[in-house]
Amino acid sequence: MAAVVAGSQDAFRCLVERYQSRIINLVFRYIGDRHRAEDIAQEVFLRVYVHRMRYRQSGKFSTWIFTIAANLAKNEIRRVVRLRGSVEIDTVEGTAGGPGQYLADSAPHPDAVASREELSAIVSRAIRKLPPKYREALVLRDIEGLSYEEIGEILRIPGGTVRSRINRARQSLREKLEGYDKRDLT
Amino acid sequence: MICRDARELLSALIDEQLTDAEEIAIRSHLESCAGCRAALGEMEGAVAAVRSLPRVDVSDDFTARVMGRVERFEARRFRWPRWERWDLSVWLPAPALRVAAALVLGVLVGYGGARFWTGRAGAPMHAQEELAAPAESSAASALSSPVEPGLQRAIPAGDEIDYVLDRYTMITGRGATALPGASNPSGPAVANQDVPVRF
Repeated sequence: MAAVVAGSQDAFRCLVERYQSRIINLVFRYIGDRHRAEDIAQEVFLRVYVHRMRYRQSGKFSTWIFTIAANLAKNEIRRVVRLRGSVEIDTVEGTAGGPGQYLADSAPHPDAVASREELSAIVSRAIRKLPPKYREALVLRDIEGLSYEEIGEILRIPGGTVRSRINRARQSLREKLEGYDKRDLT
Repeated sequence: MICRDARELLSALIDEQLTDAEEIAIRSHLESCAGCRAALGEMEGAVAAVRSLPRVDVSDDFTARVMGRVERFEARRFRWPRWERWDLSVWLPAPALRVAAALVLGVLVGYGGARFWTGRAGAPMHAQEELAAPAESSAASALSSPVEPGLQRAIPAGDEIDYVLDRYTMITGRGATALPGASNPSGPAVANQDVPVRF
């Protein structure tokens, strides 16, 4: 990162190649649109380059770039919500009318599930139906594998709130996936 | 511990984020509560399902697109000119052009400097003083009185004043005594009386 701060474009290219998959997957799990996730990921890297002088060497780079990605993804959710109706993002459950309505609830019945792709689609849909503040904590923890401390730093919430949000997200996910056998899901 | 409190700790139990006291309490509760054990199993299944989701692929040209945006950003950004851009031989490769440019620059600088020192285009300083005090200079000449040394430079020569007075007499048909500022101790001037006045 020191070389990137100094203005080396080769170093920046290495950084893009190293983090692009994680950033795109993070944003994709936030917003549920792969192509839009790539657009936002481009914006994330451009901001990293433009504001590279602001990066503090004392902090972890991954935390910094995930913070930028999470903020841009939340802005995108707000934009979509604004286009679809004036609904406050943090006060609405991820159900019909809220940000979670990206996909209609067309999950097949547990008995009809056959392939692993279908199971993945069901889990993905369940994640997208979570309220955004629970969804972002769950994605950072279970998709990106970040620690509670890092999640608190990225979302700017205390550790107790991180623990609470992850627990609520998992409880909600468990209820949505109720009926599917544990062996089917894993 | 009751079930409601235990359910709040299930997630942190999976992530091993509980304090020792909390872990002892919830494990004790789970031994005796089948419902919470089932809830823990379902939550572990949900977490495993999320963690095993396939990762989305990245487009092959993603890095190239990002680097393209970076290059466009760099191209738009203001930069201080490098020394080569100030080199005259880059802009004016022919020596004759450089000589001509130097001459034009010299003329412009000389003209600008002259205008700066004179204060107004084409007007010397003594001319400005004449314009500033014409009445005083005429009066001083007409009375032939001693004047301040600094003012003498602004007083026109006698021939010039004669010429002005002749022109005045010819146009108005009046003598020079009617001029404002000119004193006439012998009384008011008579109309159409052509009296030459000498100083």
